[in-house]
Amino acid sequence: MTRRQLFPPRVALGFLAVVAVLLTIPTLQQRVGFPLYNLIFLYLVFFWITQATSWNILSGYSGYFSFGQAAFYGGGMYTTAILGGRHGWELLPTLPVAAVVGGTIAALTGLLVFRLRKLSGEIFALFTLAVALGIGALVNNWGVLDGGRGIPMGRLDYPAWLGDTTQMLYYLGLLLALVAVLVAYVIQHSRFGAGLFAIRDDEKVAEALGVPTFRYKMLVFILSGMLAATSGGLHAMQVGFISPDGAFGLRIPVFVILMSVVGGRRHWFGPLLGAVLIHTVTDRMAGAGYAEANQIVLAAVLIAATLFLRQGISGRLVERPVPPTVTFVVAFLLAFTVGGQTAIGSAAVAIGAALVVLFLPDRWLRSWRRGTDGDGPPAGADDAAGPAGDDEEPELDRAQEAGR
Amino acid sequence: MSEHPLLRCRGITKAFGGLRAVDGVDLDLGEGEVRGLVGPNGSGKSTLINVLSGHLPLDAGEIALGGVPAAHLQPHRVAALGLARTYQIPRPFASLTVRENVRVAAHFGAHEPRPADVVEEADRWLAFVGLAAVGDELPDTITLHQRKLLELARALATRPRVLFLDEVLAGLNPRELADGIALVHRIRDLGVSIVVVEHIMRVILDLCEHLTVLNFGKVIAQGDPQECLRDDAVVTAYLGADDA
Repeated sequence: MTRRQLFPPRVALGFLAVVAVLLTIPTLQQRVGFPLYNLIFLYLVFFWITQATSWNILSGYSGYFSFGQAAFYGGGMYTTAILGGRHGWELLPTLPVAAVVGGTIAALTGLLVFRLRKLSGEIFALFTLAVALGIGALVNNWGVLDGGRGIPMGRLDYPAWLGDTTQMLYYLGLLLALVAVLVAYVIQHSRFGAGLFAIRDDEKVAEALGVPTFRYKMLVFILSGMLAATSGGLHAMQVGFISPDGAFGLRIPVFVILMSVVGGRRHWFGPLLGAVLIHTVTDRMAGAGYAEANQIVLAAVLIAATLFLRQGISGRLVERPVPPTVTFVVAFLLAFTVGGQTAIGSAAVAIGAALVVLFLPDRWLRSWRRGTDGDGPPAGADDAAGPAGDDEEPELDRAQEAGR
Repeated sequence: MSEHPLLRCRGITKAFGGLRAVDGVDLDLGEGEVRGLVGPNGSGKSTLINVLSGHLPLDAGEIALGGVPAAHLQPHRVAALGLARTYQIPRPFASLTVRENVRVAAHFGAHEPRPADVVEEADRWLAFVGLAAVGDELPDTITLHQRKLLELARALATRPRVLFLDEVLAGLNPRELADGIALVHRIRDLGVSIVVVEHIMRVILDLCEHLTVLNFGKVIAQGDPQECLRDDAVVTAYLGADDA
């Protein structure tokens, strides 16, 4: 039995290389002494990658658009806060419990929306939002959980080899992001993913072709909930003081949706790109004292992405990976060395430059490619298919009418 | 009707409110048989397919596929037993390429035998229906005729024992129609039993060994196609009663 390789050597090496580099950064930071803030920044990138990817395997892959990310995130956060902050558990044992809590919330919600009632579209989105807000209200009003006072995290114990709090967050955040991205990658390249994509496009046809739609929706919902809740539990350590508003508010769902839509929902790489992009922009705007204006920038990015990049940045990047990547590397090096920017500032500049190249009209990129390596399509190639396509149209309409 | 048909339906009934869209239909399909299912518009053909494929719950009746009870199963379980269908108006997965559309079917479909290599399996069926050249296209960029062939490739990739073709040959030009009829013959030669829903009598007479004629949800004639089409009840159903 021949099996297609899940991880071609190129992909496996890519994953290993990126993880290896990221693993050395805390040590480098201590040795070379670059600002500690870089570690915190990267932890937050990992956090957003995990959250956005967890949202995307449900909402991007299966098409069930959820506004309820905070139910899982907040559920995980409160699990760690109650067990660790209030009852003195060590950090690490709270995380599997957070995962179970997130998975349970997802499973119960899934049974309601997929079995008791078959909800989809905007009603599904509203229902998930109601679940998150409902759990938030419960936590806010029930003293056993919180009661509205909030929970200070204090100092939670964890194995000493993970380093200080910043390093521990960095390593665990990296691990969770890696798990989330690998889960998304494996799903996309498996039978499971083929089933989810089919559900997204036409659930009835998927079912008729043999896709066990209910089981798949439940499974991906639970996976999504577990990932988001574990990440939320860890994030409690970063936040320090847990409140119902912060845990179950709209910030998390809005941001994960923004990141995934901008990055692209059809590809495991999309939410990752979106998370890096959006968090870097947000961080730099806040750093420059323009936190308020950030929302305007994000709105502009979202508008541009929805209007011009239907499949998000990843969709465009898959089609033409080279020009934006080259631009990114060159701009980063220039900004870092010549421009004297910080690493994060250089990344922001490089992302901006790469985005500009990405948004350039196709025509310009084609002429650029023809100019450099001369293998661009002849000018008339796109037009040649036109007339033949037009001829089919009237017949198609007639036939469809006849079909009814 | 043979003792142990591949597909055995007895007393299939499905009502929408007061309307009995399918009313006590018996239908058998033998191994390798091609049966025509005809009737005027609204006679219950599509409802019958939707009930048999599990999309609509049936109100009464029994279905057995290969001797296994198939009534009240979810559609994906019916597909696993080996029943596939095409849609009258093609319903491709719009964001997947033609090839990926067929791969989904190859991934799932009937349980046995599972294809060793889904990618090859999908390409095999694309080539079988003649769509290999447009495998990387998105469904909305190919012609209606090609989308109908995609419906066929997708259904075949589920490795069906019983295939329902819901007006898959409607709206084609004479050349395409001839190719389509030849294609259905080739599908039958694979050993797939086929139910052809069609309005075009040439197709029915060309393809089908047996005919089932529905009107107002009831079987009004069953048997040899030529005889069925001469049957008084069938003539009346199609042309109306003679008032004179």
